[in-house]
Amino acid sequence: MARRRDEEDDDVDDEEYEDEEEQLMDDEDYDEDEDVGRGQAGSSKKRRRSDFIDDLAEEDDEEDEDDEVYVGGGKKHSRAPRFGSQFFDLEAQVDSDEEEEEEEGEDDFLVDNGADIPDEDVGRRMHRRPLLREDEQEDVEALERSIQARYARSSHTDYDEETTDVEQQALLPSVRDPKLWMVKCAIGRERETAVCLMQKFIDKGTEMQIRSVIALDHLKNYIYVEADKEAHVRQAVKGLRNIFATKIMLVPIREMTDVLSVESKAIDLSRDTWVRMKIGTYKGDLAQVVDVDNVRQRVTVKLIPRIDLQALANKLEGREVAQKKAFVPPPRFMNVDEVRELHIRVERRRDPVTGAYFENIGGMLFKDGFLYKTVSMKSISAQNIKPTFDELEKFRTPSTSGGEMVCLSTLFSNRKKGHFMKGDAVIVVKGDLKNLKGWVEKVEEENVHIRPEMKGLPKTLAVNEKELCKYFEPGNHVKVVSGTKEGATGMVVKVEQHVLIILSDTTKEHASEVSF
Amino acid sequence: MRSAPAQIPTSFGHELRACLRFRLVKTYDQFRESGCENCPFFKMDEDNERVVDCTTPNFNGIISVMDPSRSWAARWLRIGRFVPGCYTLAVSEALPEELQNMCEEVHVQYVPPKRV
Repeated sequence: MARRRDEEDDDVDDEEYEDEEEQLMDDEDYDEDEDVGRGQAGSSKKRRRSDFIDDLAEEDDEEDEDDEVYVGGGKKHSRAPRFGSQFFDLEAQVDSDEEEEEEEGEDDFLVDNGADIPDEDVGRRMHRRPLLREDEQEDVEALERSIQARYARSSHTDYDEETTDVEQQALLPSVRDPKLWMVKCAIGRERETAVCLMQKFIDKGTEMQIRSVIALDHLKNYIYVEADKEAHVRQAVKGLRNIFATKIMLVPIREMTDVLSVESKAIDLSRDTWVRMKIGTYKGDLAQVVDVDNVRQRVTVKLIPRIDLQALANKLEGREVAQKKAFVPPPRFMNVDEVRELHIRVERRRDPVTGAYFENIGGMLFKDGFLYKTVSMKSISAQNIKPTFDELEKFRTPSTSGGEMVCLSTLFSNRKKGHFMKGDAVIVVKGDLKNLKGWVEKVEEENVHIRPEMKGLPKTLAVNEKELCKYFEPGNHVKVVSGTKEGATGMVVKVEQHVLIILSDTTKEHASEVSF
Repeated sequence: MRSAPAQIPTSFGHELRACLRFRLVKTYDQFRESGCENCPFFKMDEDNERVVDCTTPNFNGIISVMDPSRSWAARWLRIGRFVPGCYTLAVSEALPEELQNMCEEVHVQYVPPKRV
């Protein structure tokens, strides 16, 4: 393992070195081409400064690095003659005017806060002009001092709060940083272990040589300990019940940042958000948030009920029902009258918070046909929920305690799902044979063979499916095959164009309009 | 050399909350008692409502930092300058506006959490 680290060390250093060189060259291009590029030049200089800081440990003199930075710029020739004289093209010293401007621009970028920048700038500029041309040696010391003062201040205050992605690059782990070790611990106790180690550290003080302990929410059974040596880790976890020091694994340097990257899920659940259930009978179903309880991490959602009323009735009456776990009832709005039919008790309750009336059936709360369920936030999925048009339509159905009004548009869109079956009564609606009634004999891909009612026509006629429509007469007994009233049976009372009024078997009322 | 460490959470249930600015993790009661060691200007110990505004139970992951100045992880997470204690890796809520203004008044920078 030691060898691997050395190799990685070389790689890291090589990369950084190459980066520096590239940046030097790029920077020169920028400076030459545009003044607008100044902004980029300024920030790229800042970036290189950070690279330098990372490369050499922080304790080193910052002034050294800064001088090199200026040298690398290409135009800043006369600023740091001490180190960079071999890079100079002494003829370019004439461009001191341009330098001044660039310096000013750069200051703005490098030091974000502090109101005293303009003053310093002016002061420095005035001193700069004569100094540069005359005595380089003096200039260097003054420069040193001012730079040290400037960067000592800014890097200490800004360092912590640099939040651009570019700065983040500078914080990548190096070989001098402590390593991350993965340690096994008791499952479910990752957080507790992390905090225990913290407590131990407070008690023991300097004896423990670990730097931090990380417990990830999504990684069970393991925690990460940051330390320089494996021995330190072993020593630190000695005596703790929850940690098993049998296997301590080193995290490769490349994967260290992945450990700390967490996806901060913005679970901003608010009322009327669409979510999907992740578990239970309603898994995968669309639901709408009605109430959020952040304290207890629970939400109340509104769902289309999937209740097997018969099984519920049996259960409440104490009758043993074979629990068919695989059977998931289809989603259907709760009809209170149906429930009463089966002798299930319905309690009317008033919710103290909202003041609305709910029906309590079998321990579950219903209102307007919807089921209102309180579930933990973990059991719903709120990311990237795209409700389908069908689902939304279903939800928008307002239902009173008796009948239901179904959006006709949905009905028409669902119409295509109706397939013809042998024995169906049909009528031709388009073409030459319009208004011809018949019965379905055979169904093929696109054509339906019907036996026409009229005499004088061949036994079967092939008619295109699109030209055919199911035909109902009052008195027919039908069953709804798709849509919100799926499963309901009833007798046809009236036929109107493409909509039927059905008298439901269970409610004995004019219950629905169904399209065919 | 070492600054006094922050209080350590005494339990691990739903009462654990994370400070929205500095991501320090403690229980609700601990915040109410002694506020956030990193941001005393929020004055959580004086105003109970404040605790609910400044902290959130929606956070991801815990890191116990024993030595922030010498920890790479703390530096990466930008908590290298804070007092030793238990912090979280990420919060999912942003600080409310009025509290953001309060941060500005005391020259404390605030950056809302990145939304994925």
